This record gives sequence, C-alpha cells and structure tokens, in this order.
Amino acid sequence: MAYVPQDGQGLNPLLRHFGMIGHPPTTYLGFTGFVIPYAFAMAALITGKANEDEWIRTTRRWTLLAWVFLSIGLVLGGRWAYDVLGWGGFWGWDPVENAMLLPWLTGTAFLHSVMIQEKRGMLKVWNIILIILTYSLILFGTFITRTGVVSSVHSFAKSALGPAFFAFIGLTFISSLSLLFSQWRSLKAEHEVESFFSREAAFLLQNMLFIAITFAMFWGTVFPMISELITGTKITVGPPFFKHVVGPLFGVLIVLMAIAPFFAWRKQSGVRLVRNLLVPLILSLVVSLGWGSLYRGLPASYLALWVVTFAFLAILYEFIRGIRARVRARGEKLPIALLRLMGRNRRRYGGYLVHLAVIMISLGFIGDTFFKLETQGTLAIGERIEIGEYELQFNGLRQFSGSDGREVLVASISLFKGGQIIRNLNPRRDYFVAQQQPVTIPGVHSTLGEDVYVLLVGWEDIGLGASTFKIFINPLVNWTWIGGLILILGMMIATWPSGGSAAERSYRLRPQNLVPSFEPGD
Amino acid sequence: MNIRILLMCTLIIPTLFAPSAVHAQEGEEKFPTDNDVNAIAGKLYCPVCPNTPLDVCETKACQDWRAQIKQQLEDGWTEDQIIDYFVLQYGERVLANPKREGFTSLVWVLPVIAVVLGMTVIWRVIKGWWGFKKPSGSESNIEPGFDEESLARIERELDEMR
Repeated sequence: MAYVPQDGQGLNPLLRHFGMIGHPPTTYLGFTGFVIPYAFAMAALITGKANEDEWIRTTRRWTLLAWVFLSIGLVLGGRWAYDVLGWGGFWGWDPVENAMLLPWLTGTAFLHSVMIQEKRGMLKVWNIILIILTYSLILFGTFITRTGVVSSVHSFAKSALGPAFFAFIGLTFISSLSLLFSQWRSLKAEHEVESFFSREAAFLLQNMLFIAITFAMFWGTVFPMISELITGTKITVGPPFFKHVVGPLFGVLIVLMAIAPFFAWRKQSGVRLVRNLLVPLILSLVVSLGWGSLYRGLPASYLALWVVTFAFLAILYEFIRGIRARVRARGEKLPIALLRLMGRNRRRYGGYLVHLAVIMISLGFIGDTFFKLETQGTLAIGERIEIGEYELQFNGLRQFSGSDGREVLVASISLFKGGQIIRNLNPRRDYFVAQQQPVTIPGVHSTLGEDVYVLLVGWEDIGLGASTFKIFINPLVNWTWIGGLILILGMMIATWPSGGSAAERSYRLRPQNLVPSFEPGD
Repeated sequence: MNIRILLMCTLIIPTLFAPSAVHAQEGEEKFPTDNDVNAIAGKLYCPVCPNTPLDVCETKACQDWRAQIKQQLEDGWTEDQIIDYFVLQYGERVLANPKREGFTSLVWVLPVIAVVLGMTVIWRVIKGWWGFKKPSGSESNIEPGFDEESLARIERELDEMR
C-alpha cells in the first residue's frame, strides 16, 4: 500500500446508537437461521423424504428462533431510524427496509403453514415453496443492501459483488424449484379442505394475504429498477404507494389473525363462531368509536382502530375463557390460573402473545399513518409555537466541542401542556468534523399515548439567536417498542422445551393416544 | 322597502366583523410558512440524495430547493405548478407518489391483479377440494367426533390429573 493511515475515522456517526449494537447481529441470525429449514427442506427433497414431516418437526424451533431474531432486528432497526435519521418516523418504506421485511413476511406465512402439514398432512408443496421463497428473499435483501442497485437511505456498504450475487440468487432459486418439481408427485396432500369455515381455509387465506403483501412490497421495491431498465425513466416508489396498497391487506390479515384461532380444524359451526366472537365484536365497535373520536381522524382511521381493537379483544377473550375454565374446574386464583394455562399450552398461548405484540406494533403504524401531527417554525428566544395540545418555548442555543471531535449545538426548549410546564427538551445537532457528518438528535417527550418529537433543523450562525424547529406529535409510537418486547416474550414461551417424549410433543392428533399427543393449534 | 333594508344589512353587517377579520390575519404567520413549503416538499424526493424525501433532507442542496419552493409560492405558483416544475427539471424520480399513467401505472395495477388472482386460486382450490372430493369414510376413524373445545377441555383436565 502506498499510504497507510495512522488511524481510521471510526464508525459512521449515524451508526453510533444502541439499536445498532443489536440490529446487525440479530438480523444476521435471522437471515442465517432460515438457512436451517431451507437446507433441511432441500435435503428432504434430495433424499426423497419430503413427503414426511420430519424436516418440519426437526427445524421448527430453529425456524421460530430465526423468525424472532429477524423480528428483533426489524424493531431495533426501526428504533435506530426513529432516533437518528431525523425524519420523525420509524419506517420509511425504503428499499432496504422493505427487503428485510420481505423474508419476514414469507417466513411468517411458513411458520403458520407448516402447522397444517403437521396437523393435517396438507400443503406439502406449498411449505417447500414458502421456504424457498424465504431463503431467496433473504439473498435478495442482502443483494439490495450490498450492491446498492436500488437507491436507499440505508446503503452503508456497497460492493462490486452485484452480477455474481445475482447469478447466485438465480441459481439457488431455479435449482431449488427444480428439486421440488422432481418430487412433486410424491408430495400429495393426505387430507382435503372440507369447508370454507375451517382453520385450514383460514390458514390458506392468511397465506394468500402474506404472499400478496410480499408481492406488492417486492414489486414496489424493484419497480424503479424495472422502469429504468425498460423505459429509461428513473422513478421513486415512496410511502404513499405502500400505505395505500399494503395497509388494507395488513388490516384484513389482522382481522383474520383475530378470528382464525376460533376456527376448528375440518369444519367450524357458524353459530358457535358468531357466539364466540359476538362479545369482542360489539365491544370493539364501541371502544373504537370512542377511541377514534379522541383523535378525530379520517373514516379509515376508525376502521384501522376497530381492526386492532377487535383483534386485541378476541385474543383477550381466548385468555379469559381459558382462565375461567381453570378457575371453575380447579378453584385456582386468577394469576395461578393464567400461569398454568400458559404453562400447559405454551405453543398456543405463546402464539397469542406474539399476536398481541403484532397488534401493538400495528398501533405504531396506525398512529404514524392517521394521527401524526407536524409543524415547523423559526423561533426567537422566548417565543412559543403550538402543536396539538402542546406549546413549546425556545429558551436558547448552546454550542460546544465534544471530546470525540464533534461540534455540538444544543437547544433548550420548555414543553407546556394546558399552560403548565411539563419538562425541558434538548434537541441537538452534532457535527462530526473528521467524517463531515451531521447527526440530528431529537428531543423527545415520551408517553404511552404519544411522543412529542423536536428536531433542531436551522439556526443563526451569528449570535445563536432565532432557530428553526421541526416538531412532530407521534401518537401510539411507543407501542411499537413495547410490542417488540412482548413478541420476544411470546416466542420464548412458545418455543420453551416442555419435556416429555417426542410423541408427546407431537402436534398431530392420535386417537389411540389422544391425551398426551393433543396440542391445540395457535 | 324590504329590499332596501336587506341591501343595507348586507353592506353594514360585514363591516361589523371586519376588524376581527383583520386582527385574525395579523395573528397568523405570513404566507408561505415553513409548513406550506413542507406540505409540497413532502410530496417530492430529493433529486440527488439516496431515497430521501425533500421535506426532511438536510443537505444544502435540499435547503436551496425548499427555499425555491417558498419563492415560487410567494410568486403565486400553485402546488401542481411547482411539482410539475420539479418533474420537468429533474425527472419523475422526484415524485414520492408514482404517476398512475403509462408504464408507471403498472406499479399500481399489478398488485391488485395479484390479489384478485390469489383469491381466485384459493377459491378454486378450496371449492375443488370441497365440491368434488368428499372426505373418505376412514377419516372419521382417524379423528373422533370431538370438537376442538371439548378436546382442549379433556386435555386440560387430564393434564391436571397427572
């Protein structure tokens, strides 16, 4: 080398955040973890054993582990974007963000779909297609991030791997499908869907919705590339497309998530279904009307709030039914009944907790889509600006040099609500001289209901007088982070080893040995 | 007579409210405000930065483009005129919301077609299974006629007896 620098510039200042300690390894574990079910599926195809369920049973916990790490990676990435990128949100529908969500979507569909194969011996081909898709999308996500073929705000590491990587993805995809086609005839379903009102049909619909969302997001992500390739015109597919196309599909998926556990395998009595869901349905209508009127949002926002309220109440109702049965039968106290209920049906109730977590995360998206408030203004010292129920007063700007070579500007803001001061906020702008990289750090007042999120976006260089602030009210955003924690807890419960023999842990009904083998699906 | 009174009222009544109207205007910020600029900038992407909306972009170039939008608003340009200007200058890639015409309309249309196709496939698959292949008699021997609730209850009770 002609020149060897004494020292590097250090980590990119934008990546110096607690979320970035966890985001890369968890994402990596999530991506690589899905290699295990994929490899077992391919091995089962090669050895002609894909018709058996062994590859699914063997890899179930690995799949769940990969899924939960990918989920943690997504939530940590969202938190990092919220704290560092300075645009007041946690999900920008950027290609790299989408590329990470795509395998999560197909992986989630796979997690649910394998239950039908375990329980009913159906969807054998479909499950292999789903794991091939998941693995291919993991490769695609890495391809998008590492090659920079699509313009992204998250392109931190570009390389010249592009063509070779693309060939590898194509080769993997085509050879996997070829293997599947070679074994197609042996993968016959052992049973058939007997009714539209059955858990199998609900799972099929859910799978279709996951694939539809995956396709829409994939299409929106790669379309700029296709447009440039075919017409020579560069275009951007921004958040409005994804919110309009993907949002309603997610809404239907959440409703299905709420009602699917109430469906029985094979056939569900319509009367019993209505009877079970009537209470959550009526309560959710009342609650969402009241809740929606607090925000006075668009009609669609009422619908969105109803969807999550209904799903939440339906899951809560399932817990209440289980606890009530234990209290009545065993005379247990409520907390004991809850613990034993979850302890004895870990897979089912752990799954319900994960569903609750998904509802919480959805709340963050609903708040961002429908109820977000935003304003910007330039304030002289002592001046105030209003947003929602809050008033913010600018008290002054301070400048100093940090020990690590950054120039720091910190504003002092007093936050008022109802004429009373709540707290002081200090939005700041750190400029890392060596890297020539500014980082905007928001001043945030967080509650369960909303965040007041203040960014310092401009200032007078001389005298540090008037400064410009961008202020957001981000309703319900903190439920996203809480949802992330509940998701981990739910998955830990669902995957915790329960002991006993393999036959006892088996998911399939065995009439001759019904008692130990039955484990209701989630 | 009545017409005269009506005419007088229409002339006098607005003048009673005029001072408050003026006061209200004085209390408001001068057009265009930062929010007016951001409302338009939010519909545009920075033409040179990697996938960054213009209203939140921190580069000097984006600050200049926002200043340009402010100037255009001061000059009386409409939102559509400003957006058209940016598209003309920098191409379609500045639009956050892709156009619904020509080749670009495919981005909107294909997901809808995919959903409709998916629903049709599911419908046909279930209907095919349901309508033409009745469950075999032996299957009733595989799973007894308990519903899931009963099975769950039996399992719970037996679990408790262990």
